[in-house]
Amino acid sequence: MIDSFYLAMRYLLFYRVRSLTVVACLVLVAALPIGLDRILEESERQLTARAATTPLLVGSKGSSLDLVLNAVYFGGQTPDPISLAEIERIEETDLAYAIPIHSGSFSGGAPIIGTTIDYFEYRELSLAEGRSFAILGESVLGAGVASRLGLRPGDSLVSSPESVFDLAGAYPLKTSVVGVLEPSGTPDDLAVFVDLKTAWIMQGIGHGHQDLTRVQDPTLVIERDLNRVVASAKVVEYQEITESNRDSFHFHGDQSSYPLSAALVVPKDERAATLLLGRFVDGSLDAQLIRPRAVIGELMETIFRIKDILDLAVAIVGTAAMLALVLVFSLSFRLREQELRSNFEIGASRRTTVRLLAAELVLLTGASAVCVMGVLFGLERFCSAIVRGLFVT
Amino acid sequence: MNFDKGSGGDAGAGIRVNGLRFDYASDTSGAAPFSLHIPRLEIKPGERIAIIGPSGCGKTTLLGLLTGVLVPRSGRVVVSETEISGLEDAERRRFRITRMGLVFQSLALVEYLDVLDNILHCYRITNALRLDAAVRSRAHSLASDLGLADKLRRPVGALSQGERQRVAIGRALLSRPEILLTDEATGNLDPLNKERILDLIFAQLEEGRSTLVAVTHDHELLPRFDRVVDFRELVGL
Repeated sequence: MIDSFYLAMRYLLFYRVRSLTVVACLVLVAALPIGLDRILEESERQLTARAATTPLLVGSKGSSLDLVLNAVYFGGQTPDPISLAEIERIEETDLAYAIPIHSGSFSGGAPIIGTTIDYFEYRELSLAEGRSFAILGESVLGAGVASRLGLRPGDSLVSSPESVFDLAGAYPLKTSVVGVLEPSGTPDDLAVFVDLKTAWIMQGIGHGHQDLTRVQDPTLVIERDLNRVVASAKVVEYQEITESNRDSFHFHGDQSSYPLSAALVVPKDERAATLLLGRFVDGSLDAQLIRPRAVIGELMETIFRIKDILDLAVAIVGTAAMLALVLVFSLSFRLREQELRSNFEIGASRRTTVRLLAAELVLLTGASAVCVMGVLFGLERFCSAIVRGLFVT
Repeated sequence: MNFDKGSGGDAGAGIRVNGLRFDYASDTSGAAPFSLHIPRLEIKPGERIAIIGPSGCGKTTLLGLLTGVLVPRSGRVVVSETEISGLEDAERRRFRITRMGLVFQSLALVEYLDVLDNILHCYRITNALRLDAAVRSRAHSLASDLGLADKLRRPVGALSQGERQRVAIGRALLSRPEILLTDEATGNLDPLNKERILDLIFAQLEEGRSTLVAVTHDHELLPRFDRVVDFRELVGL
C-alpha cells in the first residue's frame, strides 16, 4: 500500500497544477459552507450577546435597527438626536436610570462616544492602564484603538467631526488620553470614550476662547454692553483643553436641549421595563424606546433567511464543482489507461489499479482536509475580529 | 499456487506451444477479424530465439499468448512446466511479473516517474516482488551498465528515444527473469548502442541462464541468436 501512495504522490506532483486545482476545488466546496456557518454563528453570538446586555434603548424615531447599530455597536449612521430632557423624563418615572450616548465624532477612524462613567460600570469595563476621564478634554481608549493607534495614557488624540462639510463650528479638539480599557471582545474595544460635555464641545455646542471682557484688541469685539459681548470672527477658539484655558469653556442655551444619539435605559425590573415601554407606545412622543434584543432577533431572522438562499447557492456550486471533479478524474483515468494497461501486461494485480486510484484520491482528499482545517483554524482564530469588522465598523 | 523463483529452479524456462488457436473478433472500427493458429513451437530452456516476420502477421499477439496477457481459444501454452493458458487471471499475472521480463514495442514507460523509479516500477505494483536494498543496488548497477547512471533522477519524458528504450530494458531485466520477451527491443538504437544493449541483455541472461524470445525486424542481429523462427513458417503460411 505504501508503494501505491508513493506512485500516487509522484503522479500528483508531476501533474501539480491539476492536483492543486482539484485540492482548491475540494477546499472551496468543503470550507465555504462550514466557514459561512461559523461566521453566522459568531455573528449571532456577538450581536445577541451585546444586545442582551442592553435591556432598553431610547432614541429618535426612525429605523430601530440604525439606532441599535449606532448606540450599541457604535456603527452605521448617526441617528437624529434626542434631547437630554428625554433622559430626565425617564429618570423622573423612577422606573429606570439612563446612560447617555453621544456619537458623531471620530478620531483615527474610531468612533468617539460621549457618555458618563456609569457606562463603564454598566458594561463592566475595567481599566488596563491609567484612570477614567474626570474633567473636560480627557479621553479613555478601547483596547483595540489603543493598540491600533499605539496610544497610551499621557498621549493625545485629535477629534474630527462625522462630516467634513460640517463647517458650522465643529473644530478638531485635542484630548488627553488618561486611560486604556481592558480588552472586552466587544465594540467597546474599538471606541474612544469622553465625557458627555467634551463630546458636545467636539460637536461645537460648547467652546472656549479668550475672555472678551478683558481683551485689548478692539477688533475682536463687534458689540459690547453691560449684559453681553458680541465677538467678531477674529476670536480664536481653543482647540485643546488645557489647565489654563479649561475654565473658559462654556455652553450656551438650555442644557436640557443638548443632543444625544441615544441613551441606554436600565429598568429596575421587568415590570418597570414593560411600564416604560407602554409609555412610549404613545405616538405623540418624539422618541422611541426599544428592546435591542428584539431588534437584533429580527435582524438575525433576516440573515438566516438570506443564509438559506446562500446555502442553496453553495449546494449548487458544490454539486457543480463535484461534477467537474468527477469529469477531471474520468479524463485522468482515460489519460492513464495506457499506463494501467501496461501495468496489467507487466503483471500487476487488478487491485493495484484500484489501490493506485484510491491512494490518489486519499492523498487529494487528505491534502484538501488539511487545507480545510487550516482555513477553518484561521477562521476560528480571526472569526471574532472578522465579524466585528463586518457588523461594527 | 507459488510461482516465485526457486520453485521451478533458475535454469531458465522452456516454452511449449501445442495446437494454439486465437481469434480477435472484428471490432466496431471495421477492422477485419484476425485469427492465429500455431500448431507447435518449442523453445528450450536458456535458448535465445529471434522471431521474424512482416508487420501485422501476429508476432506481438504470440508474445501476448506466451505471457498470458492473451488467452487462446484452444491449445496449450506451457512455460517452465506450467500451463499458462490453464491458469486463472490472477495466477497468470503473478507468474508474469515474477518469472518474465517484458520489453514492449511502445516501451510503456511511466511518464510521471524518473529513470530509477521506472526501472523499479515492477516492484511497486505487486506484492509478489519485494523491493529491498539489494534490488535498489541492482537497479543502480543495471542503470550504470545501460549508460543511464547520470540520469537516474531525470523524468523519462526528458530522455531521447534510445535512452527510453534502455530504461524499458532495465525494468525488464531487474527481476532477473527466467524468460525475457522483447518486442523490437533495439529498434530505435544506433548501431553502437544496439550492440552494447544486446551484449548487456545476453550477459544478464547468461548469468541466470534465462531464455530469450525476441521479436525483431533487425536482420543484422540475427546471427547473435541461437535460432531464428520465421513467423510465416510457424503458422504454416
